[in-house]
Amino acid sequence: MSQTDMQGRTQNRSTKDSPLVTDQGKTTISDEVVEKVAGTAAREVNGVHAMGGSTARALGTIKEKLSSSTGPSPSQGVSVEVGEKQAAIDLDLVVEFGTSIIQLANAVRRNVINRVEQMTGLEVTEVNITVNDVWLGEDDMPSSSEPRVE
Amino acid sequence: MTATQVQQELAERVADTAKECAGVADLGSRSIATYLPGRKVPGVDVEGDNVRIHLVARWGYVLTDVAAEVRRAVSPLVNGRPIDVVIEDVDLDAVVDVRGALPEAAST
Repeated sequence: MSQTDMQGRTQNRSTKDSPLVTDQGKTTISDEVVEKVAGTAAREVNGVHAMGGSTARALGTIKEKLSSSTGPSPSQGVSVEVGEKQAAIDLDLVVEFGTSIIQLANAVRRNVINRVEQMTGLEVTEVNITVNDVWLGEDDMPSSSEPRVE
Repeated sequence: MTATQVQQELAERVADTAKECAGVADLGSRSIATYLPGRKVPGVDVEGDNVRIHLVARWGYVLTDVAAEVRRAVSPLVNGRPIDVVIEDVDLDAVVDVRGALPEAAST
């Protein structure tokens, strides 16, 4: 398990001019919205194989089977803290073997920040990424098709 | 017209107007509603100084634009009172590819 804790902030914007607080009323973005946007944005990056810790993924698989849904919930592996103008995001990733985890984490962080800030107007203060596992591909499955002895 | 009828009409007009705005999938049914005899209008509260509207947005829209659009459309109905908009959820099924906003990622 490796953790990269760099702050993903690129620019230091004043929070006073948040598009969410206007004279005509406030706009509130719920946690669930940020989770979905962040989860989908993280999955968009090549090299992210799955999201969530092992328990979340196991439960997710069972839920998928029960509900016959097409894929894991977009918010799996994402937890967020959302305030009036800012959001902090924690991500659990499973990466594909062969990717540079640092580069991948930076790319995920960049994409998540872009998407969340663009779509929700919240300022993303941090994106903490935990890499939970490395996916070795289909090859890591023991192949039972060929008998080893005749 | 009684006060209840005035409120009923206002809540319904606000709800209908908000639903027709671009990027609004539905009104939020989770927390607030206007309660009326025999029925309720979910996601809308027109009492108080600030009008409150809870909604579910469509995937792919910039949510601040959606809120601004709702505010612009509803504002004349409520005499320019401030309107607090809460985006409760985004509907991934209601995918509209506005700015190439990851529909393929939404379906996997």
